[in-house]
Amino acid sequence: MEVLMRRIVAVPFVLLTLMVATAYGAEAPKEIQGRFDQLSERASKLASTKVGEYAKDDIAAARTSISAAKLAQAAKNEKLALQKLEIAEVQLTIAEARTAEKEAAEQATLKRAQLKQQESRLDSFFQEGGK
Amino acid sequence: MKRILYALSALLLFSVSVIQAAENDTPEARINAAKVSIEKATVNASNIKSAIDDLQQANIYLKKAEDALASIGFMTFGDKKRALEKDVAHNAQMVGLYVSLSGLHASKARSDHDAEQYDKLTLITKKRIGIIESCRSELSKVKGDVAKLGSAASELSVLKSENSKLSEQVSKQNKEIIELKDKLEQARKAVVAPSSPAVVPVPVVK
Repeated sequence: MEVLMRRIVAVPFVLLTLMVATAYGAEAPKEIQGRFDQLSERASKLASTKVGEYAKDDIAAARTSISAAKLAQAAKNEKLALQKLEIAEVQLTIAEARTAEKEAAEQATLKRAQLKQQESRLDSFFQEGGK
Repeated sequence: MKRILYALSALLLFSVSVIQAAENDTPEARINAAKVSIEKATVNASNIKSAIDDLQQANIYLKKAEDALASIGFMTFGDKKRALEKDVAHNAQMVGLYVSLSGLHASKARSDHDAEQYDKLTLITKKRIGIIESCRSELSKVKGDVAKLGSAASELSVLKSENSKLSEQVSKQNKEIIELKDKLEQARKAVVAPSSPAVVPVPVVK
């Protein structure tokens, strides 16, 4: 009788554990899928802006990482998929940073040219003297 | 014999390069390379906050790589060892990415700083040019005034010389008037003295 009671109590417990495990198992790929979508969208958006021009290689590398993550996910290797997504995320951030860096360098070059122009104007005044 | 020697040398060189490549690919080598890259990037980041933040992330991944490496013991074999080695490789790659990001942020911050400095210097130079231009315009005005004064002075000199000529003429004429007056007086006396008291009209010299 005691054994029967124990089994009756144990069955719902096991069922509950199985349900939780299934739910957790279904949640993980959903989370990965969400990150795939998010990163793919981010890559596409960046590719259509200046980033696509200035950091083409970084975006290509990020897309390769996303593809590798998809392959890993298809092979049920979630850990590798997550690692590849992690890499892709930083690669996209690098793409943005490279673009910002190039733009800043261009601005600095432009400002330097403007300064040189003004300095040569000033020099010409000094060369002309009091004329 | 020579061919055998050549073949052996080539084989030896190939083995050395393969061993070196394998050594560079070990988890230890990856971690060492990651450490060196962080050290170099730290110097480059200096006081740039975004670059320092990236290096903090790089250090977090370096720690993860070191932990994974520490988990590989003498008794770790097969899939577990390979998985841990892959963890080291992944985390070392993340270190590399964050080091690159840090470099880009540092470079951008420097370019921004340079642009700011160029702007300031351009503004100062423009102000100097403005001052010089205003001095030049003032100078040109003064030059114009001086030229006007010069022509006025020459006019004055002409007038002075004319004045002096006229003064001379006047004084000459005054002398002549005095002489004529004297002559007239004498003539009058000569006419009045001998006989008739009749008054002879004398022309008045003005």
